[in-house]
Amino acid sequence: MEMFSNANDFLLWVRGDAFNIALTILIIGVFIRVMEIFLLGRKNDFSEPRGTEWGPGLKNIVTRSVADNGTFKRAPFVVVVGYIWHICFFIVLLFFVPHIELINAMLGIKWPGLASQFVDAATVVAMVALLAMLWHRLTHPVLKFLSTYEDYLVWFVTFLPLLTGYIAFHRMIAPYPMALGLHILSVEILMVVFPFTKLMHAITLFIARWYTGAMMGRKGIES
Amino acid sequence: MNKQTLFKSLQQQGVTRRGFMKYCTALTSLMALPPSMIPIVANALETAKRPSVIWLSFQECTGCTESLTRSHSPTVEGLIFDHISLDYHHTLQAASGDAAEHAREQAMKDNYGKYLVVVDGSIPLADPGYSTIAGISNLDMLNETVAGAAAVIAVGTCSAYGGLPHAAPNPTGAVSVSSLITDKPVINVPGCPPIPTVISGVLAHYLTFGSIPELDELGRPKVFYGQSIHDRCYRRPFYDKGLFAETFDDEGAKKGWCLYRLGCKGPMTYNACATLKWNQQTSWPVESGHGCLGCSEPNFWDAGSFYKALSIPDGDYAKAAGYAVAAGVALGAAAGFVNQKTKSAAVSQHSTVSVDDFAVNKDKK
Amino acid sequence: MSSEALADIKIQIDTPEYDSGNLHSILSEIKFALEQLLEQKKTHCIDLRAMPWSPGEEDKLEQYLGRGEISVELNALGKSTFYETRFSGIWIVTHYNQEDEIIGKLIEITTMPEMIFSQYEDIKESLENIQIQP
Repeated sequence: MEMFSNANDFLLWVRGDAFNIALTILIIGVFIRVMEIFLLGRKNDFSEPRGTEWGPGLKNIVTRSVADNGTFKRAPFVVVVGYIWHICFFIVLLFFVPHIELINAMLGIKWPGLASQFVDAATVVAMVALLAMLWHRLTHPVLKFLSTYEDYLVWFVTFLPLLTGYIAFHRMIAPYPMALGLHILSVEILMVVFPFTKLMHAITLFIARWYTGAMMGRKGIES
Repeated sequence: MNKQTLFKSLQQQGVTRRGFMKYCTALTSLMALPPSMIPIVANALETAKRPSVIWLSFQECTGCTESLTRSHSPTVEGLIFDHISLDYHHTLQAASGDAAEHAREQAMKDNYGKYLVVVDGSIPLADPGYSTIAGISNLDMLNETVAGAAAVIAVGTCSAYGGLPHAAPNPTGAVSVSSLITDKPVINVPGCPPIPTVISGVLAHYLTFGSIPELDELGRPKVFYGQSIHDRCYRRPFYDKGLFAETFDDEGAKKGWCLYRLGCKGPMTYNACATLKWNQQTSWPVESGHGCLGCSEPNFWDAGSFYKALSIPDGDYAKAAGYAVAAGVALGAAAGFVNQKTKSAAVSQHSTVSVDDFAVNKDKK
Repeated sequence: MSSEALADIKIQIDTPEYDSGNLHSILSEIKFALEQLLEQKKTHCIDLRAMPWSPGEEDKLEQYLGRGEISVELNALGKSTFYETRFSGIWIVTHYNQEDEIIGKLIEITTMPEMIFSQYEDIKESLENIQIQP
């Protein structure tokens, strides 16, 4: 780990070596986790299928995005605030032009962005939603009982990029290379933590929802 | 070595009081001071003595000297040079050979502790032979000359931070002035080259007030380098509205939209280009349609492509990702294999699973 | 290579149609200074070189302020021009060096820019030099 003589050196390291390290860990981690799931496979089912698997499987991925009545009645706060947080998070991640440039450079795909004020507003709402979730977790007796250090760690590494991004955009820390460096570093921390925590839900949700839909479809029932 | 004040020397040239006031007005503007400071500058010039200046050119392209001495007839910058005692400039005095070196040594002796040293170009440490003047290595000349200096001004990114020679792989072992000189005040005036009026403005400040202007954490005068290009850029409204040029000749570029996507490093660069501009306030890179290179920042040559947006990482991430995928597949397969083995063993041993194996908080009651 | 030939090259500036806010803020400052001049006889000076002009904006400002009835030319270390705009009390001062390059440009809100007055130091010198027998 180099000693940085100034903020510019820090930014250069964060944009260069540190990013490569984080990306490597992220990719290796995700591959291990996903391959573990698929290689373990499913038990053989010798019963007569009463419906198809793939159609209902894929359909379920989409339909499960809407919470059913029972879930909503039991945990309205989590459903509503969870939605707000996710939507605002995706607005910030996918529609801020500098982020689009980053994704384009890495994956070759591009789409139009939003004016910065909207992204700024979405960032604030996302941060407020996250803080509300944390408060809920700390005050709801069951949630508090179930929470482990991983839950709080995941919350923290998710909150940091939003906070540092806001600070960098508004240039609240001088010089700017320090602010931008901290933002990129916080994202790298998120990347490194991602495969080893419940953040993997971002990928496994597709597998899980497909599986549920497929199983029910095979049995010929609605999912 | 003339020790009279600047005002006296202007008077002797036949410059009237009006001329002197005009000179002070231009000088105040040059130093980026508000017009209310004009009387203070005038007062300082009436009492300031001409300092002796020694200019050392090391491993450089001479762009900084060119930037400053652009004019061939008196301008304010020229007047500064007339009215400081430029006792040594090896490029300008190249034809004088040994006589120039003697002039330097004499100036140092006569003004010991009070002269100003201006340096452009980096100092190669890998081998003194990479850059010498009259057979003396840059390092030796720097140490020798700075010993009796009052202050050092490092003009250009090469002398301030190492600049182009310092870029990877740095074959000459080039370093900046401030990495070598730690016992004298060093003012960094970076830029590739710096704006001519910034160079003269800093010299003028020292000439006028005999002191060093307020510096930022990279040793640059805050008056010129205190604001980022992004914060003073006239195209900022387009950045805020999300209107960006995608190529150098598309509709957006013609309409003058923000150049962030074309690699502008304005947000992280601190310089005066957006306000002072270049060529007597004619224009500057962004106004001409090209993104800022970040030339007044350390290591800007190694900071990634000039044409890739600031948000794009600049290492070889494609290669890293390639290796990571290969390793991930291998390790994933290995993990899957181990899991299968564990499962088969459990099945053949008829192992059971109890609720405790799934307990969330094993130590909670 | 003379500067006249360079100046002969016609340059058309394509001004993008948006408001950077510079004109509004500088005109507010000028108006306020004019009030202060009238009520408290206080003069004010604005350095036009310090503003982040977008292309063509400085010209727009000068066009708006226009020209008044008086202009003065000074020759000291190069040319300097002082003219009152169509708004009384608002002067535009431009300093050139001997190469006709602009070394200073200011707006002065005053009854007359200081530099136009004969300066007492120069008057003193004139007194020393003047002969009663020419």
